[in-house]
Amino acid sequence: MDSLPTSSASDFELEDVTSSSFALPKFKYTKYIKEDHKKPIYCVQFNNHFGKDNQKILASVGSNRASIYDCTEVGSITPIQVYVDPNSDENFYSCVWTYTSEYESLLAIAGAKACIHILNVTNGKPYRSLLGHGDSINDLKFHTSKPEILFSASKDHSIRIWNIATVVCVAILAGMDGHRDEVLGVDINHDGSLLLSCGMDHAVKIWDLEEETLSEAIHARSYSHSPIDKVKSFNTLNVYSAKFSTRDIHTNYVDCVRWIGELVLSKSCENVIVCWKPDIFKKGSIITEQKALILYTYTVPNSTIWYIRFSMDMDFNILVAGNQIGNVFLYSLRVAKKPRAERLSHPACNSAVRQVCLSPDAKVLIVACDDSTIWRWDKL
Amino acid sequence: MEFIGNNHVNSKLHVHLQKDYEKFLSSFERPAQIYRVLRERFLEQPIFLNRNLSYMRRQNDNPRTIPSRSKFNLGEILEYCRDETEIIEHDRHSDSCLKINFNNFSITNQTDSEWTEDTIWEATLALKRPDNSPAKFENINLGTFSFLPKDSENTIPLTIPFKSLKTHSVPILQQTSLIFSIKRLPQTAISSHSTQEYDTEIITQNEIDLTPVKSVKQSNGEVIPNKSYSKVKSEHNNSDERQSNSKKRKEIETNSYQKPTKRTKLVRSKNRSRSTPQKSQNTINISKQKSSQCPNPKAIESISKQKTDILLDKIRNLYPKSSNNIVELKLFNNKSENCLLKKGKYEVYFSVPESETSTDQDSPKLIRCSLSFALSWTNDPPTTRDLTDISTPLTRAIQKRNNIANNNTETPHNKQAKLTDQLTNTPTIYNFIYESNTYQQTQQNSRFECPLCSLVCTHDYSLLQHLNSTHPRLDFRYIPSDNLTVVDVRVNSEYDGSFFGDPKELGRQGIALWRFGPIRRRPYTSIIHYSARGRIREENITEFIRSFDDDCQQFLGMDRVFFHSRTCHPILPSEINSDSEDDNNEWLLSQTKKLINDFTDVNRDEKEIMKLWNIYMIQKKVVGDCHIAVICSEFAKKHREIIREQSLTNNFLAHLIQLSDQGLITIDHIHESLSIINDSNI
Repeated sequence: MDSLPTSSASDFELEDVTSSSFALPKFKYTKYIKEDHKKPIYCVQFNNHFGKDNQKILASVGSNRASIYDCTEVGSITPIQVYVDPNSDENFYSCVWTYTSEYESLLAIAGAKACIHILNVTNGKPYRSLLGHGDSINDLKFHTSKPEILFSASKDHSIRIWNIATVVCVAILAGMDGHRDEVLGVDINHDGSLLLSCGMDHAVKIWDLEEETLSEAIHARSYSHSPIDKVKSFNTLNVYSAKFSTRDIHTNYVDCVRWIGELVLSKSCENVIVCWKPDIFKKGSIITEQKALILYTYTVPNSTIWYIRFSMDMDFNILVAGNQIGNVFLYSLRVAKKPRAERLSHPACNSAVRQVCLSPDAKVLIVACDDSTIWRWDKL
Repeated sequence: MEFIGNNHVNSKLHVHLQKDYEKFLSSFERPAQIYRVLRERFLEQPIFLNRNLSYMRRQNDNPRTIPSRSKFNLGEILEYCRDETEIIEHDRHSDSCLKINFNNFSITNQTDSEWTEDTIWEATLALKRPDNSPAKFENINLGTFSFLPKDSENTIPLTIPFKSLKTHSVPILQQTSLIFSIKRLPQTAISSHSTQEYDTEIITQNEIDLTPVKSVKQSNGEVIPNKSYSKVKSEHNNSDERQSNSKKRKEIETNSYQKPTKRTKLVRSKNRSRSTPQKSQNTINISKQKSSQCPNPKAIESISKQKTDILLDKIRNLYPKSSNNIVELKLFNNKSENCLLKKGKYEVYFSVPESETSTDQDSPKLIRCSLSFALSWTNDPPTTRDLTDISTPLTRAIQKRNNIANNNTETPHNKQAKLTDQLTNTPTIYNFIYESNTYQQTQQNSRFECPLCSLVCTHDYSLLQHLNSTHPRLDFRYIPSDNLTVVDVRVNSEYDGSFFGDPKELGRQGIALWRFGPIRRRPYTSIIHYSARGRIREENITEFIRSFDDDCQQFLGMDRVFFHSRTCHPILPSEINSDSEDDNNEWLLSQTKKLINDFTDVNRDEKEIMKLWNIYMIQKKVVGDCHIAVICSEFAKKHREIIREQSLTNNFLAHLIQLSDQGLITIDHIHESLSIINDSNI
């Protein structure tokens, strides 16, 4: 298993953006497939734990099923495995890859029925199920350095931290200073110290995972809890207030956030993706005012519906986002002045693009649409 | 049925016990009546439930492994029934042994006082089998047994291996028969013997007699037809006086052959078997008694009738007239390989001339005596002990005669015989229990028979399982005991006779209980439980051992899952008593600190004392003005160190003065609180 890719973003500075130049790659449409459930595909994710040059395994979730595709060959989307939930009312919203201590690939999927299913893709068996959320789960993310620590954002206004190895809910991030509405997205920064979250309350919050009791619970206590020992349940921590909270960036539902070094990319249904810098990194002084400094805005035309997610490649060079009429926009994150957008469109692809996803080597672009189609674009 | 208690109790206690006993009777009344009615109905209209009765069979006879099941044809039933009449148990197993257990020897017409009860009778058992050619026979002496008249004790059984019944040269078993001969042992011969001497003699006798001896007899088998048999039978019915204990007695006129009646010594002479028998008319009465293990008495009766008829046909009448102390029982005939003698009890009748010395053949005074024995087939291999123990009957008889004189009746052999009898014929004891007192003890003599519906189960486990599953109004528990099967019976208080729906709906509210009277329970058969072969539950009687006290009260909702309010995780059984609902004001404390920190118009020391005071007030849950005075001194005690270290005394004093200005505390309280802080001794 290669070391995780986000380490290269730690030394990403604003100055680097101006100094380096990066040309956007050209992409060409090669293939599309259509899943037969006729419901939106909300999430597609490449398994980037294989490294850049190996297999390209793609997972997609939509309706009550999760499909695994092999995209290694040029222009191919070959189904390998499909998991169907027995509950036909289930609707999966999010999926994310991780691995076990034996380096078996795991896929965590979650959706409307508030249960996080973890599937062992290597041997094709269910691995764990995490119950406890009070309502549907909108987003999942794994810790960057601990493959067992899972963050889930839910409609019940809370974010939960799980340890899938011992099947415990480590902490619940909700309360007085937490989200006041559905949490729509989470992201963890490169060293796993700060958790970013956004929600329907227009707020973007940053949670401090380095806080003493929480850090101890995540890194030590949750691992020592034995899942077989059912005598005492895990003492779940409650975190009531976020370290940083702002509602100044967006004036509508914030449905996607990403860390990029110390900067934050966030998106609302306002046709823009905003790059901003939270004012939390001043050391040695008490932060009296929580300010956010907006650096760039990336315009995404025809993007006024919510729950459309953008993504980046592993090296943080390219930002890709779709819109509601089936177009995909590529932005270079390495260009300083005026961010230049490149538009990809196909005449048959005209429904809302829920998520765009780049393969680990940034040579394959996968577009998942509302009409249960998956489109593949290959780098020229 | 007896009361628990003393006869000499006072009348008050007696009345109390009487009441208790009436309660006991009334509690058992309804189940007993219901099961009695059901039993009568079942006898009239048998209902065959299509439920799992696998516990009724033993583990190893799985019906699927029986090969005849797969190729079963309805037309074969008749043939099967025909065969069944022929087949005698354990016929084909070469390992099996014929076991003969002599039970009783009695003299029916004892006329002369010369025949005292001290006289020892000796029965000799020999095996006659063809030797090399069907025309020639060899006689093998199997043993000699001695009896006292009216001696009903069990003797050591004689075991004959099946192999010895066969001749090596003649592959087909034919014409083999058992020969009983009886003889009165002279008083003088017995009295001169010590037991040890006798044992050695018997051993030598065995050595001699087990070598086959050529018989000079010719066999010319003739079969008595059935008609003539019935005629003979009626004749004998008129002229016979016999013991009345045998219910299905058949009288068989059959062959016997003459043996020399005068034998002064024990049977050890080769000449005896070589001697030519004289022809004589003789009577053999074989009475077959009901076997206690037969499930259906009527069926057994009819079968045994047929069997005996067939048996009659097979027994030949070779020697029409003469002395009558020898009886031949045919084991095999030419037709089938199966043994003709079925397992059961037999009685052989002899007529012996009264006086051995009398040579007067014209008017022989006959003594009618009968020898009863039990015949069974076992799989136990015969031990060598069996051969040497042949001597013991006589020894025992002598011993017993001596013991009667010495008033000492118990011998080791008697004990052993009793023990084996107990193991095979143990009764089942039912203790009827009401409020942990046994009020009635009922003994069921047939061990595996259900007392409520007369169903015969094959073993203890089946009986217990049957009792518990088909008589749910009562609760049956197995009490381990050495020799007996003891079962405790109670009224099942949890039985709900008013439920009328599917059993699976028992837990559902609303339809489970019908309040307007008893309603027939709906049969529920749609689920047929299948368990894979490897997962068959082990049948063990210990599952019925649990005592009544172990039962814990179970009620609906015991298996309901409750959840923690915040984490929505199931509450584990160990946490059921801890409250996760209590108010957690941790966030309030941090929020208070944070808000005080945000103040811009107070200095740092003021903020510190504000934080301490506010958090203390939140934690103490102070609600009234009257509490303030006490709280001030307690606060001073608790935070004395912090106030001193951070030199917050002035701020605290200012706060106290503020409180006194509001009229909450007095000057005395201020002085008290400050003195606590300033007291360096504490």
